[in-house]
Amino acid sequence: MILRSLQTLNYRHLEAGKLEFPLGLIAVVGGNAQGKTNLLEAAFVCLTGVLEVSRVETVIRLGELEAFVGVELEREDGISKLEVGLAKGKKLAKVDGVRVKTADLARHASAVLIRPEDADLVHGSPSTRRAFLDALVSKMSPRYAQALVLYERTLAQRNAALKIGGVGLEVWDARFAELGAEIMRLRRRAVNKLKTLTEIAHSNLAGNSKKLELNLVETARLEDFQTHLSEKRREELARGSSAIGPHRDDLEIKLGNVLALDYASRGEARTIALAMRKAEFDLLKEKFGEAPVLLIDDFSAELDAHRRKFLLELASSVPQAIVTGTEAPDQASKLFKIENGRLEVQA
Amino acid sequence: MKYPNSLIQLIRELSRLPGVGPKSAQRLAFHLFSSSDQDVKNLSDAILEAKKILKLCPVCYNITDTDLCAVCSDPTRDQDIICVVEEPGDVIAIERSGEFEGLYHVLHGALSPMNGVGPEQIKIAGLLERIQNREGAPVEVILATSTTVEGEATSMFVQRSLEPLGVNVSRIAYGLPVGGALEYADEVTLGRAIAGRRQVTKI
Ligand SMILES: [Zn+2]
Repeated sequence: MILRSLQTLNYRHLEAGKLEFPLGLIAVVGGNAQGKTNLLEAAFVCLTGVLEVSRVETVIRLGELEAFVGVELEREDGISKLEVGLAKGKKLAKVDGVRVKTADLARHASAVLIRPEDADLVHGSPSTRRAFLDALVSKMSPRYAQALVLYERTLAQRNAALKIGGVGLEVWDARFAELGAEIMRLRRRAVNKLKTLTEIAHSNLAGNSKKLELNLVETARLEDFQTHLSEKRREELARGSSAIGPHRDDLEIKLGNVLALDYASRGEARTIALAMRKAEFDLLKEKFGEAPVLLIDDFSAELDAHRRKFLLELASSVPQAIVTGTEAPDQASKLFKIENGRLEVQA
Repeated sequence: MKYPNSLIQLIRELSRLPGVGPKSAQRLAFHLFSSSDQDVKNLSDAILEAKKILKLCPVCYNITDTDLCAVCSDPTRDQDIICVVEEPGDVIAIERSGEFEGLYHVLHGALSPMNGVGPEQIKIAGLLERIQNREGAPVEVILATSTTVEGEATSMFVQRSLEPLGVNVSRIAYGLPVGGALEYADEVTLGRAIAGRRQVTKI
């Protein structure tokens, strides 16, 4: 997929206007806090719809009530226009002028954003890894995306029922177990693929001295979820919230047979995270039959030779990649300069 | 500077109405102030009059201005089918379809522990009592609560509560929107439409 243009209004401090992007390896160069990350984020939001409602307000320029992002995306079957409007607590999406749910943007477009903070996937809390999984599996399966929304709503109601001593809990249990089991099944299927692809990417990146292993760690028994819930009844009533289910599961990462969360160095964590992003890239490419838009943030901060080479090879393998940094990689075919939210073509 | 007390009071009362925020309450208050005395009197009379004569039907809990609501007091309606809905507005919607000839039961809400709504807060006990006290032919109960998470849970709760009473219970079918192409239906709707299919040829 090719990002033909990006248009923004009131998005952080990006200057309003429309920018056209060519093919090739595009470098966006600028100092700190000039808007490099915002630019990639804006494109990512519009291509995936992924932006937590609680964060919407933070991307709208101070003093404004609404922001807008639009892209023209070229796919093998033609060019389409994707638009996202943002206002306090609200996201509106359009594809070729027709209103769609924001989650539905992921049916029309796909993008992978690679950032230095990705190391948090390894060292962060289980919720970081769940968010990664949920976003990825939602893009691969709209059914998962819908089940997840219903599950979270049911979870909130069930927790409220647990807090008041479990009145009427049975009706929430049935649906909770049903949706929970569906999410577990779809996650297992996705993780099987993710695991293989991540492990391959990791051995390409880091060799085989320390073997990487990804495993889904589940809290509930899929085969008899509801029985498991009744076994946990007393504990759940005491804590006033749901103790088992996919909202508590984790993606366990082991490096050389020990938990990466506890033992991986910052560098090892960045390599693992990059392997996970490469697997995400591969899965989306398989799902759409063409490569997702590739966005690489702060490439110049990546000092490790293996990871630099890996990133540049990945960026050269697709028709178009956008890479930001304080300086441009030698391989860049087009240079943009960003200063104070304003983007200009250099060469 | 502060608004006069009577204006503050009016804004406060208006902002307690559902769906009215402080800003719209203020706009409504200014509008009322600039309206003619007669218009304001008509409005307040309408509110008081409605409040005075409207009540809940003692059988089905729909809103009515007579002792029994129009549906419950109509002997030509099928007395053996009761359609359970969340709100009075749902009755109007189903009546508009012209497809239903039976009676209703209005729950006035759906289960939502988050908002402090349990089985006691909606009119479920009234439904059970109504069915227990019947004589004659067995009834069918149609569960027509909404398809939200809360509506589904409410439907299941009513279904379970009815189990010991030996009545036939059905849930309204989830379908595809009429006139819509299959490829545009979302997965959940489509999945349910397939699960709830009906046979057209039997061999
Ligand atoms: Zn009635």
